[in-house]
Amino acid sequence: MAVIAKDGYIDLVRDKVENFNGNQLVHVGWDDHLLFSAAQAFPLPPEMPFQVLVSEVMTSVFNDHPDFAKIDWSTVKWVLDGEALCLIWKNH
Amino acid sequence: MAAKRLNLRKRYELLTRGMGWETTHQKMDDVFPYDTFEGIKITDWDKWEDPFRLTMDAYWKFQAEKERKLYAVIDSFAQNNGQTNLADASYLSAIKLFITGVTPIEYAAHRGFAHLGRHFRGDGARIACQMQAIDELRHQQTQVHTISHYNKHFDGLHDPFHQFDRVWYLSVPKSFSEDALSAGPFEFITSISFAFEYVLTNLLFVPFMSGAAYNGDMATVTFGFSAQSDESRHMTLGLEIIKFMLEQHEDNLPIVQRWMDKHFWRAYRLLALVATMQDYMLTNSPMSWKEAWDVYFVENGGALFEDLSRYGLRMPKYHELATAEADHISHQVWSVFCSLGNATGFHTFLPTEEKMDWLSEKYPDTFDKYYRPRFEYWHKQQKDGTFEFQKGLPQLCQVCQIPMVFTEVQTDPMQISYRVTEHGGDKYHFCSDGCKDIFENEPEKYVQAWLPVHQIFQGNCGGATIPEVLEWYKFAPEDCGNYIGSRDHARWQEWKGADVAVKQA
Repeated sequence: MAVIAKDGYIDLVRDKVENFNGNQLVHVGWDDHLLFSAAQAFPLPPEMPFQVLVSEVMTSVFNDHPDFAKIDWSTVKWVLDGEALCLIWKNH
Repeated sequence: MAAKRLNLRKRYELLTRGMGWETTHQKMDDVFPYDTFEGIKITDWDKWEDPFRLTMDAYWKFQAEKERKLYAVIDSFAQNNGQTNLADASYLSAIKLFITGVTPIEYAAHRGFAHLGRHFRGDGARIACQMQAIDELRHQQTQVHTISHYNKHFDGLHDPFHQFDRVWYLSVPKSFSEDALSAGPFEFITSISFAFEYVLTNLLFVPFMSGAAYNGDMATVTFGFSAQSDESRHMTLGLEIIKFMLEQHEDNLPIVQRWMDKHFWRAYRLLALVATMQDYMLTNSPMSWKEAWDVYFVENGGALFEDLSRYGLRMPKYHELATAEADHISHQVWSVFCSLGNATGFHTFLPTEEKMDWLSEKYPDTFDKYYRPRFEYWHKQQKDGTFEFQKGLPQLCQVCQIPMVFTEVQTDPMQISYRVTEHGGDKYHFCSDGCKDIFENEPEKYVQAWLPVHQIFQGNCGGATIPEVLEWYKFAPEDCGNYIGSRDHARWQEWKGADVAVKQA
């Protein structure tokens, strides 16, 4: 339903991807680990490999939890906006 | 023949009605361009019942009397160093949150009512709004004057208005007030006068004022007393506007219900900050958030809506969820503040053993099971010297703008509540169905939201690093961080003696 306004409404999308200096907004949450009160927000280059998201970006924040280092990434279940995300994890 | 004796209402009507008039040189719709576009139909403005029946001279007399008393107390408090009688200096985190997060919304309410005081077609409604506009400005001023004394002795109180417009947790009250300010007059008054100043008012007022009373803050208590008669007028206006709209035309009911649902939810989410203040910032907590919610919303609010059901109005949507969340929100919000205490303008501190025992008692179903473990873990880390503030920034809800800390309390309290919708090819994220519904109803409004975390990433907040952002916020280093080891703490120990039992661990 459209906004109810008196005259023409200003068309402004404040968080268009172009506004993030070449980055893409990504939120990552770790279910059942509420030591981190909410999902974390990151501005990331879209070409960043997923491996780097895990090994560098996520590690930098989630490593504070003692369980993080013990994660077996090949068994992790990923969910994107409520839907299961199928990833094939190759350990090198 | 003796003239017929008039009652108070009739006398007031005769005195004040007819001050307005039907314009002839300009169309009434041009003189009052804002009061019909929302779709609210008013057939007869003369049916408006004045909620306060005050003439200007009566108003000034009552208000002047209260000011004389209030400022005498403030002066006395200052002269007698009343700040030394606080239960603990850490209590002032509540007052720092108040001056930065509540006082500016008093000013926003002043602006909003000033606008309505010009733009309602009915002269009775205009007068009521004009008086409330003055009341709200008075509240902002008296709060600034009351709290300015603390600014002489403690950190974090120096730039509330600058910070309100910029700081990550203050965008919660800011966006709340701007949502109402940018709506039409009938939505504004439903939001502020009814949802906030009637249905939920005690949940803002009582925690802060009884918190002040129980923690030696005589200055704030006195401000609270001086605002009480203003608040009772405001409540009356809120009730009157609802009844007036619902009695004027049956088409108004669905609009009013939708606004009720929206603004109940927005105000309830804003009150999460009060919940955490009440349970965690007060050295002595007279009442838990859950207790306050049970009395002021479940009981009192329930009775109110029972009364209003004759108009066809029902309880606000998601009220059952709000009641279920009462066991959780204060702990969830304090967790995120403790995690990000390096970036708050008030000091954070972990709950003491004594406080945790109180929380166990007040929240028997949830505190020990879900929240005590993390506080004990952080205590251990602080003892070991391994505690660090969280390194990342949290995901924020697009509508309420609170970090997404709320969980699926009715089914799985360990599961963060995630909701998402798409608009214009982009995905938007919410903490709840309540916030998602608000967005989906008027997406063009909420895609304009100025979300602090996103704005930092866009480079609009002074720089890419946290220190640069804090400087842009005008947070001095001594404003932030743990209470223990802060300047406020050192000053307190200087006054009270270093051997005084530390009130916060």
